[in-house]
Amino acid sequence: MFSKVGSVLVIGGGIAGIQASLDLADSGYFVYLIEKAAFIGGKAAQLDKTYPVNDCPFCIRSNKHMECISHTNIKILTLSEVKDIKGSSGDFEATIIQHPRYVDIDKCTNCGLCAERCPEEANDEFNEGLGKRKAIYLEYPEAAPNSYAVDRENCLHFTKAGCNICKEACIEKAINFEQKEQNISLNVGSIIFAAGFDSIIPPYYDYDKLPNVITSMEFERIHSLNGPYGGHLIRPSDRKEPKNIAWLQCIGSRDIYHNYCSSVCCMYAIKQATLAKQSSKMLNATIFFMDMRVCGKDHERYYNRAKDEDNIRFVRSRVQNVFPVSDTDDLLIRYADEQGNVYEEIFNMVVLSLGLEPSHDAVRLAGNLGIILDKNNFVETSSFKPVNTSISGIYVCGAFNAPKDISESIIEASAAACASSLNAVSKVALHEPFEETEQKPVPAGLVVGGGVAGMVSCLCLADQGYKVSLIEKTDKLGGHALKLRKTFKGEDVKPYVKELIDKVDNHPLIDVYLNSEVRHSDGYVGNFKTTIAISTSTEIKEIKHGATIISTGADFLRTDEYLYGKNPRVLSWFHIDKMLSEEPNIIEKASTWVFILCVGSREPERPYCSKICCSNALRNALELKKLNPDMEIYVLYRDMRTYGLIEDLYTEARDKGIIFIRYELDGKPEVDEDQNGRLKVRVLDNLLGEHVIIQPDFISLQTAIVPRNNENLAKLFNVPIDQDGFLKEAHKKFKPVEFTTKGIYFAGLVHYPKPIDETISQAQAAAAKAVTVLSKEYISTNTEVASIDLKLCVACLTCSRICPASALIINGMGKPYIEPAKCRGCGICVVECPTKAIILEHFKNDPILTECEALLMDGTEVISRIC
Amino acid sequence: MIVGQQKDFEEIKKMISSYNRLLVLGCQTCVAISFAGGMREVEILASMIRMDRKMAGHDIEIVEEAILRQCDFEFLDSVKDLVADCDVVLSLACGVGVQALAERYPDKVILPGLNTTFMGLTEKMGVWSERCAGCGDCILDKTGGLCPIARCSKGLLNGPCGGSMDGKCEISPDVDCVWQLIIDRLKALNQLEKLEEIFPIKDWDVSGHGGTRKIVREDLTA
Repeated sequence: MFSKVGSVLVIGGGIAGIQASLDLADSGYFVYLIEKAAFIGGKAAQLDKTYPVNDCPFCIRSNKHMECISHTNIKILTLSEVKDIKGSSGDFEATIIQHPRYVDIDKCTNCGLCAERCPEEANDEFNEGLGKRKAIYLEYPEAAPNSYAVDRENCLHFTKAGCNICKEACIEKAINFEQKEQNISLNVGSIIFAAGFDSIIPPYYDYDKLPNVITSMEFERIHSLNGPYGGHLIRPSDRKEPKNIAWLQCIGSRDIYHNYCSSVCCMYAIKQATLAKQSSKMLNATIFFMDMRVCGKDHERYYNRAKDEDNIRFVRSRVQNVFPVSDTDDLLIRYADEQGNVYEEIFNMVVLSLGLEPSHDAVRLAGNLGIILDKNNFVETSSFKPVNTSISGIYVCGAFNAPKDISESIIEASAAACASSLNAVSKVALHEPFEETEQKPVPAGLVVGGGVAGMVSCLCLADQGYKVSLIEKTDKLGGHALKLRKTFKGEDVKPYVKELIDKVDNHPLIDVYLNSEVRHSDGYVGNFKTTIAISTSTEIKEIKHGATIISTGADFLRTDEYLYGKNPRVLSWFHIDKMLSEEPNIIEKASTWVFILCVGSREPERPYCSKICCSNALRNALELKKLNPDMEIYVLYRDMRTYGLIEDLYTEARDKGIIFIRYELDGKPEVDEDQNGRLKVRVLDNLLGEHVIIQPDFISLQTAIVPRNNENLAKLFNVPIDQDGFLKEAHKKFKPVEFTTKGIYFAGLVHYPKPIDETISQAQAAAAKAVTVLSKEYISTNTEVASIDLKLCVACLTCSRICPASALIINGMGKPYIEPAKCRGCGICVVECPTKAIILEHFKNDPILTECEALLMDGTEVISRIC
Repeated sequence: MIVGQQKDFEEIKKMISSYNRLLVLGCQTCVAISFAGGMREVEILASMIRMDRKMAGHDIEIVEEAILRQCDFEFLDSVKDLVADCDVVLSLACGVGVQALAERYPDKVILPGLNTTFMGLTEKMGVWSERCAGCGDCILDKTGGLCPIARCSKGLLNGPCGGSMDGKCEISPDVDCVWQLIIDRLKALNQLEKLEEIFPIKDWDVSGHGGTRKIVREDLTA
């Protein structure tokens, strides 16, 4: 039916591997997904609610799992390990060992009788050992594949030879102890490593001796509704509700063994503390931290809410010791504040916010294959090819690349899908049945914005054979990257951007429209029509395209603080870049330089972190030091947010003698000049408790990254904007490059401030999503489309007024018509229709009304419906 | 269209308190569009009544139905059996519909579930405002297409009055002074001279002040 030669091997069935597999499969490629555990889902499946929305991720996660399981283009091999990989890009030969499950997935009906009868209990790893499970088990009720598995190490059939209780109990005869280990050989065109992370086993704080010192993942399980305690927040030693809990940050991160930041711990600790507070209002929650690194979209706001509304206490200190309190199960914490005063406090429970280490198995395998890893054993990648490993044809995504959260893993997974599909893999010839409602998509893309994000998206699409139109407002391509000198890793940006522009300019499938703006855009997934105006001519051009990528970037704040614009020695973004390349003599002569961070960011009117300022300042500071080692450099910061592997820069900067002074929002530095224009900075040093006066030659301000006028853009493409003015994704965690409007994607600074490597991977991800549309033989219309009974319709126009997708149009007869490809099946029109003329199959009024009435009439407590 | 507004639930409860078999009958035309009496509102109101009566320990049997227009006898005939089976009909139509029902089914108690408010339009979802007072002698040709009878608080014919401030009416800063709007519009249409004309005293006979109005068209009644 189809050729599997040239398919893609995805190693790791966590959220990243699942996303990469789905994107590839949806674009028509065949995927082998290898997972070493008996179930897919990985670490993300163990998590309770997710930040920054605190929504329940159960159904959205399970949907992804089930989609993966049932996809005709994905073959999942659980309990499998990659033994060896030979060959090269386009033609790899992978040897896989699949361990027996001892349960036939196709026969198992998940009735649970086997586990009920099984006499042997084992530690429940899914619940981090906090509970027990049987030797034949299902991780959790919705686990995928939804079939039991036998844990050979604990099963009495193997340990004490002979037990066959489960086998006899099984009605479907699904249990088969005769299954043998299998060697499977796969021929694939490219490989994606999505091997994820292992939690660091805490070597300190007597974690192994003190039961109420728990890990962050244990906390996730304790608080989870499907966890060992049914979601009741109780501590392990005596199952009592803790009254005060301490979270200790940077456990296994930013220490001598792990010189990197694990990126996710600040946010998950805040999430855990917030959720804990919600479960128990009387609870005292304290987070001990060094720098609060909440740099992602809406993260700062989440932190502020935790501080101001949930009264979570944040203490800036690295805790030295945790001691047991005799005769109780409580714990004593000894810590020092910034001034060195030592305090002791007693807590009922202590949560260690564990960092992420690259998966140990994957490190071994990567080592065998000769993939270059960095000093921390993460895969070495360049900023410009963020998902490419050192071996052509092998890609990486997720936490094995660098520590990162779910949404960033998902972005990278899509990026890896895009990159790997460029790698000469052949498509599955899979014809979907043709129905009249199906339409052929226009096999062309439209990219708005010609910066790095836009150009990368363009090339990804064009290299896969799709025609692309690139719309750029200015007279040249390149955007901000034209002015940026180096990435945080120290790579030169200019040659990369030049190469990118050359490729775009010379690609036969890319039409570049400079000096152009979008005037109007209409249509629906697979079939858009956009008109653009070119300012250098009177021409109005109409472009037909199947998918849209928005990458219009952002601006830098022009501040009026700190004498900016008044004194020429107060600089902002890219001034140093220019000086370093063109006027090094000025730098050589300067003796003192001050960087001020968070200018306009993390302020009440702009409550978000601009994410790239810390790393940019440190990179520039180090470049200054390189050119002029005697220069005194001061960095005035609020939290040093060198997240992930950027931590290296911070360490190096301190080693090179750069001086860091932390200031608070209510004690901002004061900048003055004397009549000769000589600058003076006065700032309160929190460590000394005294004001410091610096007389710098230059001051560099890291001003905020601010959204462009996105309202207009949002209207043109019918996409939403968030409260900060950036475009708003369909789901913060699980759909980070998509909108609720299908067929439109986005990447780069228009989404949120981010460094160039993250911009590139997001651009690749957006392209991968666009390909899932463009590659379709037909765009099958949503099965969950509303329909109208015209006999009942009184043409009140309500539906067309309220439809968020503008899918309802009033036709010439004065009656509404639903554009099937535009309808998202949201059900709003069904609810609002005053004559009840609109129906959506899964959203009928009657059962819901009946249910509500029944619940209320029972007079019993109404329990929330679980989705 | 005729804009309706559902009566306060307490008032409805009181009206139906002595009945045990109720037909809630909606009207799928004007009042459906103004979200007061269509099928959707029928179901919601019926649910509320059922729950309320259940909790009060006084069950009620309710039939829910809506017809295209309650102001036409022919449509009313389609619910003949339903009307016969109930003790009382709670009509969610405008006053015309309620009276049409009462006229068609003289033996049945017919109750109004709505207040008929005005003739108006949907400004946007959830906002309706009055546009026509049905005065029987239209003057919109002289006032730039904006009606001072319906929209001036005083119904002035030669406005504005001294209570017009910054384009708003003195009764509330939320109410536009329609005379200001008339002037603005006539200016935009280059017809300001129309304001020079003084309106004579209006004949209010045709507005109902001369008794119930009725139209008989000989050419159609044959």
